[in-house]
Amino acid sequence: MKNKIHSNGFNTPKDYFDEFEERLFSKISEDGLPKDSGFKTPEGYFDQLDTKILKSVNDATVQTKVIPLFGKRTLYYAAAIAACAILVFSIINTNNSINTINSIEISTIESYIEDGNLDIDSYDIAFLLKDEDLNIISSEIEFISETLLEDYLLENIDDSSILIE
Amino acid sequence: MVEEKELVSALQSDSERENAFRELVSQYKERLYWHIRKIVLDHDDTDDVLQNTFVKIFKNIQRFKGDSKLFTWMYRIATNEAITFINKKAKHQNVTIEAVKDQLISKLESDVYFEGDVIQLQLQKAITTLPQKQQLVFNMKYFENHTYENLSEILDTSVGGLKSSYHIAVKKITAYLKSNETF
Repeated sequence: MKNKIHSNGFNTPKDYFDEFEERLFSKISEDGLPKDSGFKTPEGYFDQLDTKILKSVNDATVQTKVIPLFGKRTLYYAAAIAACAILVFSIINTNNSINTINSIEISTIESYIEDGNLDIDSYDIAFLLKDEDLNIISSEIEFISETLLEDYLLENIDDSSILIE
Repeated sequence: MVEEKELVSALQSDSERENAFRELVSQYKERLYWHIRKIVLDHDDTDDVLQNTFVKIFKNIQRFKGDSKLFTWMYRIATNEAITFINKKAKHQNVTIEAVKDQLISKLESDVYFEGDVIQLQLQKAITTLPQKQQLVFNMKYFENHTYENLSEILDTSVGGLKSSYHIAVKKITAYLKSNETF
């Protein structure tokens, strides 16, 4: 109904009345649910929590100083060793098997990471990088054009996973 | 309560860092605990995840640029840690994530730190049947009373998307409770 008889200058957000029933019914059914989740903590847990947290933070930061496992130098060495190993393999094996080895390795690594075996998340990675590295990454991301992004999404996104959500 | 901006600059300065971090822990420990507890359900697991969350916050605070609010940034870390914890548990036991959640929920009945009645237990079971994102939205909106605007920042989803997720979650939960005849 678009008559303006009672026009008073007030307005509502788009689709407000279309979604009103749904919101109302959801509110009504929500009112019947218990308000408390039922979870409890051991007595005095929160009183001792500060000390406990500060201790684990101390332990964790001390550890990272002592064992620079992911130092850049170590990474270079590791990369160099890996490169040598691949080189040795490629010399020993015939051309045919090189392709198989290479393709298996990439797909294995991919599925290894996708399965969540790599015990490292974006915060860990960010921690290992310097600010300049992060700036470079974010400025590189800014250069990705929208068409490129659309193409990527069209090719790589599984529609069914969106529909499920 | 110390203003967020002051707290952040204190956290990022060498001299005030420790005191500021103590303040941060005392301000947010309970909120983050309950947030994680709703995801991992068990108290001891929550305790572990909470410690890891604060360790990550401490290690990464220098990089916090203030693009979002400090507490939404911390909630994002906590959410990430809790979900990673469940995923790792599934991986270690070589079962699906759903199977881990079923295990956790069946342990609730005998959990000394769960004092919910039959309906509260059923509600937790109903929540477990939702997809992860809807679980988060429902718990954070229903039990923790976050605004959609805050949720939008924490979960990186539009307010509209969150509202529909929440309504779908409520519908599914009500349907679950009705079909299980305790409601």
